[in-house]
Amino acid sequence: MNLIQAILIALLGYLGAKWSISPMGDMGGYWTIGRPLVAGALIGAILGDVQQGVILGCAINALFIGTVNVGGVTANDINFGTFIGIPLAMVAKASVEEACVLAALLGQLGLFIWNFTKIINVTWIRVIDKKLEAGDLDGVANAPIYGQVFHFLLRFIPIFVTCYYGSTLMEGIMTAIPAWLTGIVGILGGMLPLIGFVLIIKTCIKKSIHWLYFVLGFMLLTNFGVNILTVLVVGLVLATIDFNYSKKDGVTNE
Amino acid sequence: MSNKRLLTKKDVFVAWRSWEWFADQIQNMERQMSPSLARMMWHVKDKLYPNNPDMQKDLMYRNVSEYFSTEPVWGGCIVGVMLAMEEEKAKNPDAMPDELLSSIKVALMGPAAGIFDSLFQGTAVPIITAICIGLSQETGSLIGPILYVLLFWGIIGTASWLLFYNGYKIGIEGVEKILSSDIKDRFINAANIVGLVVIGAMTASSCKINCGLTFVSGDLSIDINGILNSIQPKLLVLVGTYITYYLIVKKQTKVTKIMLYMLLVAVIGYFTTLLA
Repeated sequence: MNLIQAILIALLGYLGAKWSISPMGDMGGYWTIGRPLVAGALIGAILGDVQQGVILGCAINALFIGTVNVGGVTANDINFGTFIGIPLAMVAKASVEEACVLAALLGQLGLFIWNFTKIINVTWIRVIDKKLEAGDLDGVANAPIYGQVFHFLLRFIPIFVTCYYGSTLMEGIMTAIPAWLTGIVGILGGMLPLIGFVLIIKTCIKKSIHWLYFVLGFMLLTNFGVNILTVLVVGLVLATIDFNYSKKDGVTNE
Repeated sequence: MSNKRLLTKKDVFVAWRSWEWFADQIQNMERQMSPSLARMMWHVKDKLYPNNPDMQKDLMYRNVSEYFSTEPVWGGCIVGVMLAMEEEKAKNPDAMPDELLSSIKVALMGPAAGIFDSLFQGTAVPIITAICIGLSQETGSLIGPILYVLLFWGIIGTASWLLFYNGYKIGIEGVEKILSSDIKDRFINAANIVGLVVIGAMTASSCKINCGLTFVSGDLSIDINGILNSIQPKLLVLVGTYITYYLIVKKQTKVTKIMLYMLLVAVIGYFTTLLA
């Protein structure tokens, strides 16, 4: 694979990743360019064999067909599997099965990078807060654009390096990520969302007794394993009771 | 209350485009999509508050400072509701407390994500994909990829706009109803309750803190995490929530500091195996 092909594939890989600035965001990127089916055709065009690209893309897409990212938690990363797996398999003339195994492994690496990006992106939130305080509204609004830096680097570089230098280098990098880093990122990633949730709870909790509602929602999920719709209905029932039996506002005509 | 609209259908379309384009584009662990919500409001700020930089700043602040997360493509209907509420607030600032906005936002975003994650990502996309894969997997023909793009944009893209626009319209009607009667305070209370229950469930599903300690003595090993979870699953998350709440609300600790504490806890916790 020559330099230009590797750069093109890496750029395409960035565009096809979730959270990238592609036409119409994720709709044009992740959900269109980023689908292995579509990506396979595009990568095939870059490498000069559209047909083989589509066949590999179909196989890898079938592998990831059930991937659903629920509540921002990702089951598997489709991006590296697609944009590293398909090109490597095409260059190495690998079988469809071999491509799938490679894609699944790369999905795990992608998952690590996914969480890592989400954590370091928190630094932009500090930038936003500063800009807001200074009254720089345009600066706040443009955060999704300049905030792409980390994401771009973390998508472009791995794809480019692997496509250009081959898979042995990638395996070296994967084993070079120390276990402690993965461990700490995992622990930190589990805790950081608490801040966001607390900032919301803050506005909802008027009296300590209101914590009961929070704990109820928490336990509905952990102890009863119900889905979020059931949680909503329980919340609505409680809200209806509260609404009907609490004191009326101000002067009532009833 | 005047019935004059501040936003035209075109403004709503611009807002939708901005939302879809940038919804996920600065995903972060702390506030998820709130900067994207603020960017959308930035597009309509001059329509909502012409020549009023202070109110424009408030508008941005409200939307960027609170956690916001939902499914962006179809769950955007919630964002339409948010837009409608901001428009109502701009028309009638005193009648519409910030609280009402945030409590409705909180109550809606989780369920919307729940419904549309399964409908959009879990149902619509897999069905379309499966059809298209079937057309191309043997032959490698371009029909599959092309049909996928057409179906995705024709069905899912169109539905995204319709959901957003209808969310906006429903939002306007609903908010006007609430504001025009004397139920506002009670309504806010009720919305807060729904919000808290939903946030409780969202916290449980997206946070995890596990204890990694195991005591081994001979053949007997005691798994502390298992014991904690048998008292209450995810007990440590519940404790962690309260500690974070205590620091932010009671101690007024800066968020940056709390993040440093968390990093410290994660590092120490990992190396002492207290956390896993």
